[in-house]
Amino acid sequence: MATTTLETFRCMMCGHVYQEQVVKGEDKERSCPKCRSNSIRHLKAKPPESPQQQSAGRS
Amino acid sequence: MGLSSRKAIYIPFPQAVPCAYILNMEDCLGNNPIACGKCAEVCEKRAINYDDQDEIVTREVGAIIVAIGLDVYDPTEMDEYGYTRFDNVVTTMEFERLICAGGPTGGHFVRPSDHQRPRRIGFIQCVGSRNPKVGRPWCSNICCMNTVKDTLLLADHYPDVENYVFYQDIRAFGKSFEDMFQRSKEAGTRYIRGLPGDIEEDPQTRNLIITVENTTSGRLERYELDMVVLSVGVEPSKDLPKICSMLTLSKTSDGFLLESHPKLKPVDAPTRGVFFAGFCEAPKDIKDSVCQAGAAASRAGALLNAGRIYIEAVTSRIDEQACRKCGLCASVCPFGAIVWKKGEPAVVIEAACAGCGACGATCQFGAITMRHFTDDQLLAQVRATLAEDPQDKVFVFACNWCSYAGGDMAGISRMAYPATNRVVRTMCSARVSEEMVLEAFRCGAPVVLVSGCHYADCHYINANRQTVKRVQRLWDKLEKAGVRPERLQLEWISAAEGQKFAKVMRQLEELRKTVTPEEIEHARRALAPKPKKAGAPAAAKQAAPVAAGGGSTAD
Repeated sequence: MATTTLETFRCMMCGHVYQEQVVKGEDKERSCPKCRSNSIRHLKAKPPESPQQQSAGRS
Repeated sequence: MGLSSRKAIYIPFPQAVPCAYILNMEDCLGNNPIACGKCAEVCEKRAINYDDQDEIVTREVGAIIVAIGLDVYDPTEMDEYGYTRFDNVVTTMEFERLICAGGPTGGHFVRPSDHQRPRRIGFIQCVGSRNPKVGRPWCSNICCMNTVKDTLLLADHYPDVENYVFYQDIRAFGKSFEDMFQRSKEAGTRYIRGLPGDIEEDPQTRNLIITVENTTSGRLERYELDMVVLSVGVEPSKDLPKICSMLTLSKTSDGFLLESHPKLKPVDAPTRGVFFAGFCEAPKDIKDSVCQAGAAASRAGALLNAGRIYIEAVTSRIDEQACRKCGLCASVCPFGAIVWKKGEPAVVIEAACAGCGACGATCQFGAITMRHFTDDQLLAQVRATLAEDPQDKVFVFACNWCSYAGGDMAGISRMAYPATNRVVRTMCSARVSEEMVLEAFRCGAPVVLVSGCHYADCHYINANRQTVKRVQRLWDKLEKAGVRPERLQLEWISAAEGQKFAKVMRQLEELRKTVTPEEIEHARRALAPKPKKAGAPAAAKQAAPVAAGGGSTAD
């Protein structure tokens, strides 16, 4: 079974930070759930979440 | 279905091509030791060999046609239709066997539960097609007309049978298909727009009760039927991943094979010398499959009979002296066009190279020259473009096939967007090396965009995945150097997305306005190449600057 991890991404266009389940080895085009930009940076270290982001849930 | 038994040696069905017998070794008594052997005795051609085993045969060929067909959707997971619970719910494949003269009932149409002839038959369309919930959003293309054909067949053989078709759309777009659909309706078939939500079975009669919302009338309707046929969709063959791996092919998002170009090269694989025929590329009917097979055979024939093969001049060349034998280039080539053995310089198979340039952008030692898109040429374009007033420009690397064409589309569609962008074209976004992006920042670009094809549209199989990795590395590098990483952007823009191109340009212009002269100056200094240590090998990647506006010599 494929390994799934929860990864953090940051949109370099609008700054939106979100988390998404990533299946190991998946080949997926990423776009920002907020602005649809493809400038998605995979953040290796988990950033501190603001209370607003925590309440907004995960995309 | 347990309606009849079959011998251990048989022809799959009367119309099978080739019309040859199959020996089912699980049921045969001839398998080690031979207990029967009668079929071998009567075979005059001595074609039966009980000891024959599977073997791998190696052949050298000039072209390969992939025609591995399809698999049929297994409706077991859609429990609402009761396929596993009710005997009288069958799939279209099982229905075909029931009405086939060579089938288990000799063509006498009966229902499985009591072997009586059904009078009311329901067909449910789009089972495992156009359904994202079961991971199959595509239309299977053939099911509508197959059902229309079945209703006509039943109406012809059994005039007293009542046919009900539950559908969401009837797609009868082929030649004479609409006429067939009309004939089916004239023959008495009732077409009910709406897919059933549930099927129940009457335990006494074993009849099936279907509840459906008729979206034409807006009413909830119930039908009692003797038998239900699930019009199951098709899906890519389970062998497809293995074929993809062997031939370096890529798939579209629905899992079928990606062609080289949907309009201009619909039977060509991106890998040269490989062609597609039939369902492996997309769901299609017999006529389209035959057309595509003919086209694939013609394309393969043209390739084999050419005598001399002409290739695009945009290919890679490796300087054996400069090659450090690391093999990185071979690992990123989507076409497997670079051969590398440990301890030996890499070698490009020019006939297989498609010219994406991913290898050239990956090589850190300047050992790879991409003809017509050399490092020197592209760096010269960067410097020339940003020679004057770089702070007022948004610098764009656009791939030839999609993003650049997307810009054209925005232009010819008269879409308004800021005129501050300056575009440099590469064959693929994977050709854009880290050095080119850094050079743009060194030349004072406030914002740099790297743009390419969407994942499914990449003309070089999956070369643009290298772009993603490179841009990720660049973001890290910029941040480390104290340069705002947002100044580097990445976008996938297709040739049809002129609107997206214009939108991105507007967004980048807004971003450009936020970049201060101090930031630009800091980037120039922070990203300046470090002085080389004495005795260090020359890094050919950092090509000598050329005068602004001066081009470089074409290769």
